[in-house]
Amino acid sequence: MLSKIAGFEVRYQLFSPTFIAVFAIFFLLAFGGITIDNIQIGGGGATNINSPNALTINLLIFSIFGAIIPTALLSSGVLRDQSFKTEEMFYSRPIRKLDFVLGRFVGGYIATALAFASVPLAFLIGSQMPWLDQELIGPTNLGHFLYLYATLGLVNMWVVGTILFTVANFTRSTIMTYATFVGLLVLYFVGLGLAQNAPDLRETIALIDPFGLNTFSEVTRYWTVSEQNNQVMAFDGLFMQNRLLWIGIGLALLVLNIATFRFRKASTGGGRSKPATGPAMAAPAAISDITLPRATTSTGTATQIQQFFARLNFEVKGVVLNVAFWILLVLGLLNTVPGFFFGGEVYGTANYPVTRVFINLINGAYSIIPIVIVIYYAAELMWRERRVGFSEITEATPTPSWVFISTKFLAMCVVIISLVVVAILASIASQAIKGYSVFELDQYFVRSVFELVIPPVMLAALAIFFQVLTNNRWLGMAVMLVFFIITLVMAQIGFDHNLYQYGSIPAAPWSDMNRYGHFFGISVLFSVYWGFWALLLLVLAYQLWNRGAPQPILKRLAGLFGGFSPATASLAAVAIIGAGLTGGWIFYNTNVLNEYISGPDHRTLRADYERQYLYLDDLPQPTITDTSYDVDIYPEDRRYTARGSYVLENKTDGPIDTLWISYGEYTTVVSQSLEGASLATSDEPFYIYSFALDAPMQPGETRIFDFAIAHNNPGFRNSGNITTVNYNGTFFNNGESMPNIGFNQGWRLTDRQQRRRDGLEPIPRAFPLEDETHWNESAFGKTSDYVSFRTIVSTSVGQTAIAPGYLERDWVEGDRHYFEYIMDRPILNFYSWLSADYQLAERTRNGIDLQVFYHEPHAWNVERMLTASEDALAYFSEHFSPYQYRQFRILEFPAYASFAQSFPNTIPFSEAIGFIADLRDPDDIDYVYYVTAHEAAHQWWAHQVMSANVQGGTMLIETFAQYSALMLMRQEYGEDNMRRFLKYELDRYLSARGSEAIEEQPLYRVENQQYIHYRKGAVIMYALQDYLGEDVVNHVMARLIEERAYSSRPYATTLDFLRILREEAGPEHEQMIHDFFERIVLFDLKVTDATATQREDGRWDLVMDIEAHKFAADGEGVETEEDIDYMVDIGVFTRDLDGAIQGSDHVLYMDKHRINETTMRIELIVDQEPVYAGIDPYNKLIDRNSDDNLSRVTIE
Amino acid sequence: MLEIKGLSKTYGNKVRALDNVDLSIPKGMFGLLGPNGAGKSTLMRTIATLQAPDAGTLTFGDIDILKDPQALRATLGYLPQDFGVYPRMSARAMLDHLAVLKGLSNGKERKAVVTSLLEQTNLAQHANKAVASFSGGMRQRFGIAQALLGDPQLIIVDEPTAGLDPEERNRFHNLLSEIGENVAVILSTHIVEDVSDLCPNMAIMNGGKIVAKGSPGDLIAALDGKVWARTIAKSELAGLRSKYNIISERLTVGQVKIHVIADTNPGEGFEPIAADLEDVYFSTIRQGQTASAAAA
Repeated sequence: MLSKIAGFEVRYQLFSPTFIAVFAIFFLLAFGGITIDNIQIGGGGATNINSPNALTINLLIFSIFGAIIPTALLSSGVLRDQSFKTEEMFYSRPIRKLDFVLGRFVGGYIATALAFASVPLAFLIGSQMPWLDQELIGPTNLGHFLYLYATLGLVNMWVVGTILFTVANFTRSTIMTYATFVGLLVLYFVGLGLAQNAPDLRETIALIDPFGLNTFSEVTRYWTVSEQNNQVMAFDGLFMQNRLLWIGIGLALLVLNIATFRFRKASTGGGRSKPATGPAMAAPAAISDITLPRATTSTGTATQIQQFFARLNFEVKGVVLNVAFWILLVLGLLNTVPGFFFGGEVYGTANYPVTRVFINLINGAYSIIPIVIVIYYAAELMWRERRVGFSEITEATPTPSWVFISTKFLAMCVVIISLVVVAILASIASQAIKGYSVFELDQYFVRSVFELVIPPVMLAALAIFFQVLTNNRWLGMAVMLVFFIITLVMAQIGFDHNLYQYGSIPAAPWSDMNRYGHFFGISVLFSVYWGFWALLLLVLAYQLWNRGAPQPILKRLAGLFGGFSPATASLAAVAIIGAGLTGGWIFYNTNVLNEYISGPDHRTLRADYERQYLYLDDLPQPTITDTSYDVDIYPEDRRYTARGSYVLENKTDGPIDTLWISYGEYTTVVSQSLEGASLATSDEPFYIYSFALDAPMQPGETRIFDFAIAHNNPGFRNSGNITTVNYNGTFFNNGESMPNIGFNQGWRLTDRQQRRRDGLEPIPRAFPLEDETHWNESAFGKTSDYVSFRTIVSTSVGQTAIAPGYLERDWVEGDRHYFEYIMDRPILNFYSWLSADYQLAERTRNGIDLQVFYHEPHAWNVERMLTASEDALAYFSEHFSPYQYRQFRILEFPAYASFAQSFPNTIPFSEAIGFIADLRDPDDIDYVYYVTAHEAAHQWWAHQVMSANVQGGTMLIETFAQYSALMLMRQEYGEDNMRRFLKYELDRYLSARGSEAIEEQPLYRVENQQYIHYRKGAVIMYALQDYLGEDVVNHVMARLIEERAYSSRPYATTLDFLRILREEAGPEHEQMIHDFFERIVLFDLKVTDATATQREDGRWDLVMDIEAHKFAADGEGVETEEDIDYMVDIGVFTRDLDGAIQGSDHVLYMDKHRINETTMRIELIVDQEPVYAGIDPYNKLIDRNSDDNLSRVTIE
Repeated sequence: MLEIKGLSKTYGNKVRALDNVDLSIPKGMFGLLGPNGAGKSTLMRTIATLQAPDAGTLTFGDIDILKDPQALRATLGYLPQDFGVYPRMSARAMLDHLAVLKGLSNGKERKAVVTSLLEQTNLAQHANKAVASFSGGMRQRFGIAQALLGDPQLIIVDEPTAGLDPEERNRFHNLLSEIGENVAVILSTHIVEDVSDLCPNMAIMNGGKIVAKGSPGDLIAALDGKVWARTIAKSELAGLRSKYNIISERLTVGQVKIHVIADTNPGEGFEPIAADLEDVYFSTIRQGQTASAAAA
């Protein structure tokens, strides 16, 4: 019987349109995912497109979306008899309930499993497609497919299937099943968010994640490219526990289902109310005198309006009184509230709960849920009457159709707005709980309207339209899904104009400094434009909607045009004309005032540029030695103009007869002239020009180059509307529009896949370290060395304009405020201009002016920044070399970017970092201090010692800035703080290795790889000074500065540093220096056992068994073990180090031991009872499993 | 009042649900009788503006129903064959809502109408209970209550008594006949007694066609003296079937009672009996079947 029922179920499902549609959709999605370059899931970098890693990610991601498969194929088995009203027939048959439930379940599960097999199948077939980049295709291992399909696909379908089956069985409600599905999604996202922000919880989250995605992240966190390409997660440890746990939970649920199953009818009344039996007939056959109640009926406008409100009230109540709505609200809260408390932390330190950040968090949390809700509710509301079987009654009433459609639409709007309002209330409440009382209701209002309400409302109109058009609930939902996919793919392949990307409002980031700025107008315009389209869709939906029995699509379409009434025709006309006018205005802005180039076209353009002009790169060109600029910033027009003059010098050995000048994109070149030369060629699309010199420039000769440019931002663009000039908060540098010499390197395509597609040779990320021909070029480019700099910059009265150099004078002329800045010593040819309405905080120490220019409400950490600056300048001046300027300025700029950048005596610092950090808890890591120190250190590392244009360049700049900041931070906060900080850095280094695009380099050959020069650099330098001593390393630094400060012939290289380091450190540290800088070396250190016994003298004998391995890794991450012989810290503590933040009372013992065996026993005597003992307990060495270094001591 | 001319409807699967239907329905109760699948519901839904026919015309008084469905809806009361209800909504709230949809815009009037209808349908004491919790009979009464909202001139009730116990049915009939005095009421059913008890006019529908129409009395009169009955053993049935025009076979206590149509007494133990509407119905249906069998 069981197998018969199961067999029936499988056959029934396999031939159902649902199965075929689900299989096809998932096959196509997965196939597209692997074969379309721009939407590849799981590949990236040097990892193969078809790597086991990519397959794993595909299976995991699709199993999340695939939760819809058991919803459709498995739970439906339980609900089906209800929807087909055959339940009585089945339930009354003499079928044993075990057979029935289990049969249905097994059948449904087999169908589900078969449907999900579409994903690995599509991946397998897709990876054989000839157009894929063959360099990124690895061997196919069918065993991996089976293993991953079983452990991920089948288990996830099992987990989701049993959960949804249970919910369906107990509630007999589609909506509850659906809500459970959304709930599972939310749980996953909450887990993900927590895992990102609370590393301590990662293991727990990995264990309980029903989908295994967090488990995967945790297990493969530090996997290298090589491991990603060749390995799958082994069935052990966390992964096995997670899978077994969920298989078990699924089994338990199934047993529960069987044990409690009753054949029963679903009650439409929600299960609680039992039929009112009552006196069915008070007077059974009494023939009463029926007088039909008289009433005047009307169909006039007033009545229609009354019907509209009655219907609106009815629909809204229908939504709001349904438990699903409240579940969604709760899910929405679950999805946002954790973010308010744990989100957006930097090094574990939270921000002040400023409204800007909180709305961003809501935005992030609400990226998918509204879409799900719109799709669901469109189907639910449009089919509500038919579903409950009431449609024939309502549709036979004289209420006009527009009342029905518009109120359904508005009910959806109510759902959307409710969700947003609840999120905002939760946000405000969270702000209050965090003791923050600046509730920016205006920001909440305007941003939630544009960012959270209007986009889903537009989608709601579309979803209703599709529901009406297809006249089939499921088809309507499927068409919406297809719409999303098409939209996504269109954007990827170059059809990315917002005019036809339905409902898209270009990103409009908020900045506290600039508020909505110019984005406000753009958002309003697009909202109105799409509003007209939505109106048209609703009118069309009204026209296509037929009451009563559904009519075929074609028939309704055929009758569409004849069916317009004057009212609907004029509404449609208003919508079309409105969309035409606003669309025309958008087009005028995006395509007439500005040039519209799609993403792929833009890449092609850049490839063309490279093909045409790359040869210029080898051409001898003069060097810029002197610069001066008159810059006028017009914040309210978001534009600036500049006139300037360069002195160019021929520093080459031969004469130069042609000068090539290039400008950044969107620059308007007003005039340009070179002394003794005439303009020879102009290539405006590529912003490159050449001058023919009447007489060639001889070696050593100088010439004046004059220019005038304008940088305008007329109207708005299709994308990229974040501009450097803003109403409040302008920040641009000379790379944007000021002329430069020769080929513009910034225009080259750097992505290797892109380059291959466009037929370009791969470019090395950096020139080889030993290539001396590039030692005379700065890492910033070869067109200039150190230059002199002066500028007069004007801005609107009320704003302060700032550039590097010292303020000589400022004056007001009309509504313009002029500032003249002069730098009194040569600087790198890299500087910025800023303008905003600033508050100024300042102090003077040792003759140096320290200043912070900030946005008034962001005063929290200004004093901290000043202190950090003061400490930094003092420490670096004492240990490295004197500070070269008389002034040190930090300037806040809008949150359109979140970095800080060091220009000579001038440090622009984003409002998104530091300024809003909440440092009130002294236990939190003070990253404001750290970032300030890091940027201050760049006044030495970059602005004193500049690296040559070869491998390792960024080590001298970024790694040394990291080191400098670390030393300062340790001085301020102590050793334990450093341990916590460096754990973040170690984690980020190890995590990022797997995303390497080409190959990992050892530190001294770093090719601008951030995870190496920042993250690994910090860990290595900290360990280095731990081995050698801070003084020794500082002395190396000082010597490097002495040798190479302001040197441009040659610039400094890591070879200089290593030479000095070896001299200072002595030969006994040779192995360590070699491992740290010149190789990729990893350790695996762990305590396998630690036991202690109390001695008779009251002290304690401690025996530690340790394991120690050392590996050398190649660029792909393939490790080879080698003999270990290292001095490694052995530490004994009276407490766990996790909560240890300050002081050293808990340290019983800490010393370096020589570790030269893979297993060793260490015996110590300590004064107090040891609680924890460890090898390298502070994680100074790079160890992929840094958690097993420390172990609890067993007391005997 | 309601004039139906040449109404035809073919579904996508080639089923001719309505085949050139002509009917004229006057004021009063009009019974539409037919077996399941005869096309009754299609006809009802078409009249109720819920389905568009392929061909034909429909007028009610001055209203051209196909051109101006809204005008008909304003004066229509419709009780569909099968209807569900929203969970949680009370009978009063639901009726009030429907009253608004019917255009009863005056609040006081509407309240009075709703209250009165609830009383008339004997639902007053359950007015504040959810319709979803009603028994089958109560639910049907609620259905008729909503159909009566807004003083309709045309009332369509589609299979209203299916599933009702005899008492409920009786009550329902009384209600309907009271209403039927002043307006046109179309009662669609497959239960012969519903029609014979209530309707001065009727039609029989089969295979999408109107196969008979008139008053029940006239239709019965036409069969007078032509119906013969005999009680036989089950084993004899096969032989007699080929010999006579049997219109009904009914099993009683192991024996079969058959009715045949014949102009003269076929003998062989057949006794004459008085024709009733059921004989009319079965003979009409049988004719249709033999006719279509012959055509095929």
